[in-house]
Amino acid sequence: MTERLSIAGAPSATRAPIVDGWLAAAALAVAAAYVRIIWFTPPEATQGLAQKIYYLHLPAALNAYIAFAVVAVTSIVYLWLRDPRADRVAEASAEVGLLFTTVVLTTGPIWGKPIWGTWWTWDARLTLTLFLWFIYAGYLVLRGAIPEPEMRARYSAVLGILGALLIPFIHMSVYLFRTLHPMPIVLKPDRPSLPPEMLQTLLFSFAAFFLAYLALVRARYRLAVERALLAERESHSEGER
Amino acid sequence: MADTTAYYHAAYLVAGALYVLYAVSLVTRRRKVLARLAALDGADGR
Repeated sequence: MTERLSIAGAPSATRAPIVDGWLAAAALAVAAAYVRIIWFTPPEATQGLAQKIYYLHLPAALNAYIAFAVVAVTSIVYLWLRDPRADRVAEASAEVGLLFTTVVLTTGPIWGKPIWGTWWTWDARLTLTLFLWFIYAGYLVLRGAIPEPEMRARYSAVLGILGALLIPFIHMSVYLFRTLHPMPIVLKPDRPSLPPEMLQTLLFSFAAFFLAYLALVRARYRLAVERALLAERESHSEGER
Repeated sequence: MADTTAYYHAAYLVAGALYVLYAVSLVTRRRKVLARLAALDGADGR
């Protein structure tokens, strides 16, 4: 049973170490990104050190986009094939995506206070990102409220797909609405408008946090596998009584 | 150039704390599940 529920190509569920090589590598990569940002990247001329918040904020936002896109794709796969592995990947990616969105929603206001003079403003980019957070927080609450696995997977797949439809609106909101939020300086049709040193640090930071995304989703997937195993064992034990 | 150092430090501390807390919560939840699985193994005499 353990082998059937384990991740293909990964150690079996109950024998895998608590902190594996992926999590250790991700922690090292994120630590290296912190060192590069803090000590080896020059501050911007007008914003001062607050500009460096950007190297946390943008990678977290991009990884949140990726995480929720993965939720949508694996939810479609689940509805199509009814494969519980797709549902577990969606659940894991939603939880990690919510973590990245929380980082976006906390580092953004900390940057906004000295630069805009306010912690928060109800403009389109910020408000839609807050809605995205609520949708995936609701997704996880929904999952916790439905004990029956097949029904839980089906209902949450629909919500996971609908929630991801917000992502293109969030990205395009700075073009569609009048907003205080800065325009994209990397993900735009022409070349990134950042000096090479800053662009390299940004790409390094994105790579480190993307590795963290993969490692955390992998660890969260393994937890989902072991929870399914536990639920099966407990129902089997109750059936025997 | 305004001194924005305190905000910079705050952002890095808050983000770091969020990532560390999440990793700790994953480890804690997994330990609980593994402990319950081990208890079931013990009850089954495996």
